[in-house]
Amino acid sequence: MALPRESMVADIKEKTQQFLSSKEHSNGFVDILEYMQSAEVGVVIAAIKASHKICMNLLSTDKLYHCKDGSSLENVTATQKYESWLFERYQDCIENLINSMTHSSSNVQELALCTLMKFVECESQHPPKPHNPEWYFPSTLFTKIVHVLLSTDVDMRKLLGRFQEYVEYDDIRYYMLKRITGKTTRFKKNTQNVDTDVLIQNIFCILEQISRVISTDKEKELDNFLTKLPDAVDKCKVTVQKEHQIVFDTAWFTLLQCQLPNSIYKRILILLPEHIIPHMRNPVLLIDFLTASYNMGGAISLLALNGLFILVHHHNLEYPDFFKKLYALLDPAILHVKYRARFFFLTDLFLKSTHLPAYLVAAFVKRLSRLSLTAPPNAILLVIPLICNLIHRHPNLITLIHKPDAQTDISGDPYDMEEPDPAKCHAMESSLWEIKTLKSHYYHEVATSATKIEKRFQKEEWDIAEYLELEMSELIDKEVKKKMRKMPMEFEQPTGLFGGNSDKMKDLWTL
Amino acid sequence: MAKSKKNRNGMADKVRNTKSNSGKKTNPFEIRINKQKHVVLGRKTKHDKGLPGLARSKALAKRKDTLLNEYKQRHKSNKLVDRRLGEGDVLLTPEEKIMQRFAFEKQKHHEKASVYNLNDDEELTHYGQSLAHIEKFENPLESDDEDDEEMGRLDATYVAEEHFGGFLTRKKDDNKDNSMKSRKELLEERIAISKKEKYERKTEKEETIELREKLDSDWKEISGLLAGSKRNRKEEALIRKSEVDEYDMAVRELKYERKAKASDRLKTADELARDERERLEKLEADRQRRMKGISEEEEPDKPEHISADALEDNVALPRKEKFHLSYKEGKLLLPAGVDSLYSLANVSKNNKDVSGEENESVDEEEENDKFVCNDDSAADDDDDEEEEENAAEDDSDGEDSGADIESDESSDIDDDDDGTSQVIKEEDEKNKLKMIREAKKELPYTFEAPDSYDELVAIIGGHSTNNQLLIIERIRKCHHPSLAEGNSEKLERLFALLLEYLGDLACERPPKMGLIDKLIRHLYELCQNSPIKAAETMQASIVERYEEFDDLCEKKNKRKYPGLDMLLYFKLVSILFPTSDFRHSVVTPTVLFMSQVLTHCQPTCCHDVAVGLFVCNLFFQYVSLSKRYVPEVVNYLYGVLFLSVQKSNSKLYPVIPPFKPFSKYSHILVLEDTEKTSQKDVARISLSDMFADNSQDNCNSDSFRVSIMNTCLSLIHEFAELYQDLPCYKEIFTFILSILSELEVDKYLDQIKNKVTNLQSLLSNQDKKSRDFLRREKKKPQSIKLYEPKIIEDYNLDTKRKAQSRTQNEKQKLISKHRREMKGAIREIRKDTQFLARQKIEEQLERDVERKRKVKELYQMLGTQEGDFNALKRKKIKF
Repeated sequence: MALPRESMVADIKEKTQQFLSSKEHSNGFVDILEYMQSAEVGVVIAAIKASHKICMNLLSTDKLYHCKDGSSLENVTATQKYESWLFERYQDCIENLINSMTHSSSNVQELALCTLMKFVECESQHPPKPHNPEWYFPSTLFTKIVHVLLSTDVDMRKLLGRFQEYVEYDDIRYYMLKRITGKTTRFKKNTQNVDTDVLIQNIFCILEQISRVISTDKEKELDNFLTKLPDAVDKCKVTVQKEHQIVFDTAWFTLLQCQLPNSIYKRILILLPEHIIPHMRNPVLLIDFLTASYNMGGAISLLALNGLFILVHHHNLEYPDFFKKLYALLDPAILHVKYRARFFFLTDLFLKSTHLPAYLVAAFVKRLSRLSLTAPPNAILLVIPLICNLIHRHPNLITLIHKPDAQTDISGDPYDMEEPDPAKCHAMESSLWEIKTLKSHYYHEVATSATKIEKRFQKEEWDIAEYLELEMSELIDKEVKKKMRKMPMEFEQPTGLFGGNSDKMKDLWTL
Repeated sequence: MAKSKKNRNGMADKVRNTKSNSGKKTNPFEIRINKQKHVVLGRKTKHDKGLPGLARSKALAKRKDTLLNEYKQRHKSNKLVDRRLGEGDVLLTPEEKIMQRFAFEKQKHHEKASVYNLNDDEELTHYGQSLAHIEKFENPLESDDEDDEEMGRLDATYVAEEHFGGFLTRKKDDNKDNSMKSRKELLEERIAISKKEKYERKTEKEETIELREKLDSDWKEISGLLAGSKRNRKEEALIRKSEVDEYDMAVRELKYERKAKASDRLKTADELARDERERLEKLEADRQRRMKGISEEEEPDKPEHISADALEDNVALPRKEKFHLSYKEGKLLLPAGVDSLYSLANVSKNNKDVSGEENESVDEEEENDKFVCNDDSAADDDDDEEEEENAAEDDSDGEDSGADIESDESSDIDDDDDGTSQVIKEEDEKNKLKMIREAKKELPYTFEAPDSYDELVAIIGGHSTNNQLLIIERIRKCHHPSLAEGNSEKLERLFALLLEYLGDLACERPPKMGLIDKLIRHLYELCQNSPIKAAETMQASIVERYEEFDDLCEKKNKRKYPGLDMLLYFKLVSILFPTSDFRHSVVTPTVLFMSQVLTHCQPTCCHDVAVGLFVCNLFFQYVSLSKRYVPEVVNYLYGVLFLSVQKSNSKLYPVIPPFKPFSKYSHILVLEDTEKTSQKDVARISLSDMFADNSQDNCNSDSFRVSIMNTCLSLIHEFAELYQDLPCYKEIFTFILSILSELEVDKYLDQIKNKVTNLQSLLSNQDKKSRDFLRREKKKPQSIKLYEPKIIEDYNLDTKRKAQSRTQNEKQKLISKHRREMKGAIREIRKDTQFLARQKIEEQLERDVERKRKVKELYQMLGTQEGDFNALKRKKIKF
């Protein structure tokens, strides 16, 4: 259209006014719908707003007539004819809005989504005419919205972020979860579809939101509805807490059965303990998933262990060899990796119980101290207090650092690092020579920290939180910030780069 | 009788008076004397006696004033505030109160009135005097002539006659003059007189000045005759000088010589060596202490830190020998052995000498001649510059300058002694000119200290290596801290700039290793001059580079090994600062940085491995004295062996980051050629080769790999020996030992093969070392309480605790003060509550009494009523 933007907007406004004022100008609605396909963002927004106004008006004044089939058109009145025409336009409008949800401008997307949700709200309160049950949820409309939101080829995370406010409504959440389950199962059947990541990402995104907003209070009344609250409370599934949980469970389980990309896998494992397991009806079913995850190795194993730990701890799951598996995760690289903080936070958590057998904790202590021999300073600063805390919790382990009446000379360390079973590694017969070695570590804080085992322990445990995320750059910062009062200098005068008397490099390097 | 009565009355008065006087004295029963446990002589005690009753009543009164009021007001929401001026003040008399109020009232009034007067409070001035004052004309401005003060005033007779109606004195022949002259005439006359007087005074003054000048000039003429003044007569002075007695000269020489000798006697070789040894021992002890991390407070006899000056006075810097300049036939005479000790500046300058004919002594002469003949020669060079140069030559010795001047003088004399004939003089002139010309080609002798890096580059850039060093030397000498204030700051800046320069030199390709090597000495010496500043600079540059490195580390796959500049900085730190300290503000961050290099950068080529090994070696240098354990190095050396082993797919090596068990770079050190022929002799790795343009080609050869292997094995050997005493020796080296056996030693030269076998035997021998179980240090047994007096030496009465550091003392003081205040506050609060409780119970009692009284009253009333009623009843019955 050649018309400038302002005039188009003005036209839309005028037509809206006319439409609302009298029936004669009903065709204006068609024009407005046409405007919705305009290239101008401003015009589209104006058109959406106008159609929102019109449709809300139509819905609230019950002017829509939904005739199921065209056959019965003969014996209807002119009004009904007009109203069914209006209904068709209303359907057109919905189509257009659904299309707008994938518009390039995020403003338009959001506006379209909000408008559609408004329609959902309004339609449930004033359903189209012949259809008039006690309680009505506009499921066709909602299915269409969900279909766009869970697109298989467009990343909708931004729009889903907007959708979060609707997820807080109990009814929307319930139907959403149902649709998600349906979508995932349908999608799983035809796995030939190559690019699955986008859909999974979208699904995960919405599920994450749902898991975050869902309330943990199981006795709470479900009455936060966007649509009309059903009168006969007992009849509807939507209002039953148990149904909600079942839907939640199935949605997650169907998702977990899919082929998940690595990043989402990790995110799910992180979410599991705090946001998913508490809302589940039967979390023990997660065991398969978690066991499979543990076998993947690396960071994923650890995260899986966290989930397993919660199942064991709170849901009476019998899981043999939990600690053996944790023990196996402690390899030399663990102190160098990025997720060290989380790992040790969890390790500390797993080993918190004072009822663990002493041999087991001794094995952990010994292994950790052995690992600290190859660790960077910031990791050692974390490991030493952790070891001290373990000994603190298990007074039997004092033999590791204080064995007054043993024979003095032994040839080697009785502890066997290669043995995978903590029960057989002879950790209790050993001593923490490693920590003693660290007393002569080059970094002074490590050396000071290592002297802890020689002294009597303080009353309470050491706080390891401050060391969890300690970075090397922080250590350097700390050193640099200390004020220099005195500056000792080297007293031996150099004669050149490799010239000094005590120079240790001249034998191996030349200029 | 009456008299006696009177008398008695007087007595009574006396008695009464004395009584009233003694009433002020406190009742001895009310004094409480605090018993002292130990009487200490000479101590003044404040609290030896107290007046509890008095204090209590005072406190009570105060509480009544304050607390009771508050208590009474507690349910009241309104409050009457008395704002009347001075109402509550007891000290003010009613009059004063009234005055204050009046003043306030006035002020208020005034303020209100003057709201619209804009410029009222500004005072206009002229020459600092208020115009308001001037306008009153009380103090008219005086005439400009300040020196004759009385001039403006009329003299006394006039005043006496004319002012105040002239009645103060009787005028002489008043009848005559008075009638003849009017007032106007009189005034004119006075003016004329005063003008005349003024003129006279002026002329007199001029005359005096003239006379003085004349006298001066006369004196000048005569003074030449009176005494031999050298000042303006050069020739005369020269003649006189030539006439100077040999004896005088000898005396003078002796005078100065004696001074020089007294200041520092030359030490014998033995003494020097002993001093040096003592100094080193002291420093070593100091180092040991710092290595253990013992702070200086704990050490009672702290060795004093060597200041830069002290260093210079001792042996650290090569010192210039002092000797007298003496000339013979225009040539400098040097004592034997001086040549070698001569300052570096001269030596290097000689190197530059193009002609080559002129030897050192001539060179020296040229300098001195120039100095002497400043006034008559054309003086192309700046005088200032010459002087500065001379000062620089003097170096640090202040006392030397005197001697120098003296020697210059004497050389002058010598000159004249030898060359009375003009011919020689002319020759000298020619020589001088020639030398000046040559000198122009040479480097200037003084340089401004550079303020910025660009300036430094401008000064140094373009010169040859030797000249650059010479320039730096000269800058340092020109700005020796003892020469002028602010020089030490300049040198500090120079240190920073040279540091930067060093980094830039290292970044060049190929790096200028020769110059860098020589710069080290300068950096060291500059650093010794101002340790803290230098340390800050060094720390800042290390940190800056670290941040760059850290940023790179954040981005994955971009971890790069540091360049040569960084390696040299690491090395420099170990040269400038003691690396064995428990904690050191520069060394510790550097070490942490180095460890980051070893753990974060995956080696992708042989060059990287070489850099890593260099860092490992640096670590060895750092910890060689303190024998500290560096896990990163052991990991890295193991990783290097891992890279050189031919790996089979099945085995998983327990390598630690940055090495990865399976990556495309895990074979970079495996020898390509199986034949030994391609391997050259094992050589030391050259830094300049490593960082040359074609470093990739250089480093990718088998011979380089062999060198790396050699370095790696040597390092492992060194560390294995260094860590022998560590309890976990076996665990530390177990992986290395296992991987050594997998090394295909046959591929390498015999030299390497031997090293490997040596190493294996060393490591496996150490394996068998036995160890003890850990044992905590025993708890110290509690000592039984002793009843002998504890004797504290230098006990101080005033301070209860032993002297601590200042902050600790202050803290202690604050803590005890807080405790005291706290106690006091608690006591006060307790007393307050007691007071309030008393008050409440009093009120309660009062109320009870009131109530009882009312009840009684009621009963009484009822009783009477009842009585009345009964009486009435009885009456009724009666009737």
